[in-house]
Amino acid sequence: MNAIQSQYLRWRETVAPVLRESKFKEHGKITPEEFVIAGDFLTYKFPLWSWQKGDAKPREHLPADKQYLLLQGAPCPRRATSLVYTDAEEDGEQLLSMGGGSSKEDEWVQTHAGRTAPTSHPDEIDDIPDDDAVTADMQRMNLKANESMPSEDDIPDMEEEDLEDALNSNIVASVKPTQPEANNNNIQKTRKYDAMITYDKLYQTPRLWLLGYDENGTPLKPQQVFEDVSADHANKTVTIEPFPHSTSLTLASVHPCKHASVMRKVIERMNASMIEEQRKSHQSPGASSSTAAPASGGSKKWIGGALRRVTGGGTASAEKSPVATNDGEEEDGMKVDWYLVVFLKFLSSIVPTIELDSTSSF
Amino acid sequence: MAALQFSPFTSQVSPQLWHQLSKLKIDVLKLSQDSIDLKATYGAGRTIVDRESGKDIGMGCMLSASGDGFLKDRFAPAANVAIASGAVINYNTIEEFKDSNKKALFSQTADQIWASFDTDEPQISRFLLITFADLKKYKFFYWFAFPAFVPADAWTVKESGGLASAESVFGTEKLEKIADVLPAHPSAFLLKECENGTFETAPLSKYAAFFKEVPEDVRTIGFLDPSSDPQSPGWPLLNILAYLFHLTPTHKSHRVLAWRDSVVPAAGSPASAWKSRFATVVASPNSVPGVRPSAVGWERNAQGKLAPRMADLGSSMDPLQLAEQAC
Repeated sequence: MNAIQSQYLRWRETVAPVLRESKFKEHGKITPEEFVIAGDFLTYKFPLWSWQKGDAKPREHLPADKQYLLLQGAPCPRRATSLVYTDAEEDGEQLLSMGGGSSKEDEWVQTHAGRTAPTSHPDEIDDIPDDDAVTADMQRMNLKANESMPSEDDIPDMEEEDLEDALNSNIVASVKPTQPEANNNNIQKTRKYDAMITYDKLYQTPRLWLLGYDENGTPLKPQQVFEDVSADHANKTVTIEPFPHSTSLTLASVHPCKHASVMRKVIERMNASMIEEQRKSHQSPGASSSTAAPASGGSKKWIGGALRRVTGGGTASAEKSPVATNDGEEEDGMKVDWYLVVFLKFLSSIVPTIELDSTSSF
Repeated sequence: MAALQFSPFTSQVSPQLWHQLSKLKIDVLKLSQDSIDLKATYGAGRTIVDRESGKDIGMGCMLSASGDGFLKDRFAPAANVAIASGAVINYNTIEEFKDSNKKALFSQTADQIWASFDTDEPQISRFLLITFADLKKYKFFYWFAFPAFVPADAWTVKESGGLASAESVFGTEKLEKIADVLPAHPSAFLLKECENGTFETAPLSKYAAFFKEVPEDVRTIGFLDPSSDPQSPGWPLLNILAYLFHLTPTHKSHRVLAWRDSVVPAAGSPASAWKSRFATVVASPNSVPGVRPSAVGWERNAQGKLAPRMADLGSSMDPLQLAEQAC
């Protein structure tokens, strides 16, 4: 059944027409060309990301050497289930004003404000209470996660201490990760994720895929990945499907059916506040005459300010400005280059504990 | 002077590697037990700030291997990672895997590294991977070795507090300039400051020519440091130091820049944003040049034992389990 379904999904994506027209501001969707532009920008600005070719037949609407984006080893120090909200924390909520929003309904609620660190040690986070909703969900899926975990019995007994007779304990730091008290350093064992961003031709948005490793570098079962997805999304928007650029991998993926509308909202707000800033800079005497392309340094500042306002700072309360500009000036707002940077910020709400976003300095 | 400790590599193997190995085993290798080439990568040691406790968390010293590493035309590493070449030997039975002469294989790899020291392309981070693929049960047994040369008397650090922060030695402005001139896939490089304040880099093997006019106390060796431990540099430095000692036995002291900033901190970020470390590493006066030092480097498993690791890919390869998971 699964095979038929995935064949169908694959067929559906194949026959879907390639988006030609740029619509990222109107619909939050991007064309394959824009995906490449935004990906180039992401890999340039944040070189932890790289373009990959994949081992499957290349998709024709993308360049052969730019099939998807990869970030290796994104740390995930704690489970998303540890962020589960409790009534006691409702007092910590704060109202944040969105960038372009002036009315009350545009305010966002910041949760977990002023939250302090949990007392538990990150190494022990695996103990998720059984009555937890996510855990229960996973049990219903008949995982046998514990049964199939590699146990010591499966590994042939072939410890060979004499292999390294020359091993000088003065040379090697922290060789025994099982004895944390012997570690006088700050290294903690955390889960790590390889994150892939593909272009989904059917939904015409980027799509995130996750390949997880546990604390010992053993690949996580796809269902264990759900522990790192916020409870609102686990088993709903995060699904397990064959990875399109590999002939063999089956990975957890954030389903892109809602991406376009969310991205459209975020972009709309950012665009509005950026146009506002651009307009201001045009109205200032020196800049009004320059009809050439905006200086690159300037555009960075605009987006920086806009991003801060939209994603975190919450202190600015700029007036909403009309998006449409008729005077043919340079007020073109957000460039599509930034699409993936914004996309990563949006993803951090779905996988809050995976450090995908190294872009916080912008 | 304190003895310098090194963070050993930990392997991180993508499931794709096992998929690719299974394919190779069935279509190409069949019963052959000859070694095959594999390329792996390591990036700069990463530290993240825990959002809740505000503490720095080190990510250890990782070497990542994926299925692409078998395929020359598909291997596309990110620009700022170093590439390590290695050999994979896949055994047909678990008994052969167990009974393989690991000492001989290890010493063979170490000899290859040592021999490469006399060429223009020293293989600083060559590795060995022995595997047994249980294709029916989708279980893969594997054991990495990262041979590194260890002198009889340990390398020591001149600085009294151990590794110093690179920022305190170079300053932000110079570090930014160094970041600009880093070579692509920088595993190790020579670094010098020119008169006009810019920096230049060169491959290790150009030591004599590159540093001809440079006084010994400002010559700097840079390397991409996969370790995130503030006090111990990563495994590759052992072989870099052994190579330099082999190349220029008279220089017993090296200024080493352990580069850990694959993302240059933005201007205005906190002072501790630069993660790179610096040390002056000194060889023991008793070290004898020209003799191959002994090598260590079998990877320990998750329990800290010298034993192989196992990857169970039943959940992503076994058709029965895949069918069960399908909703």
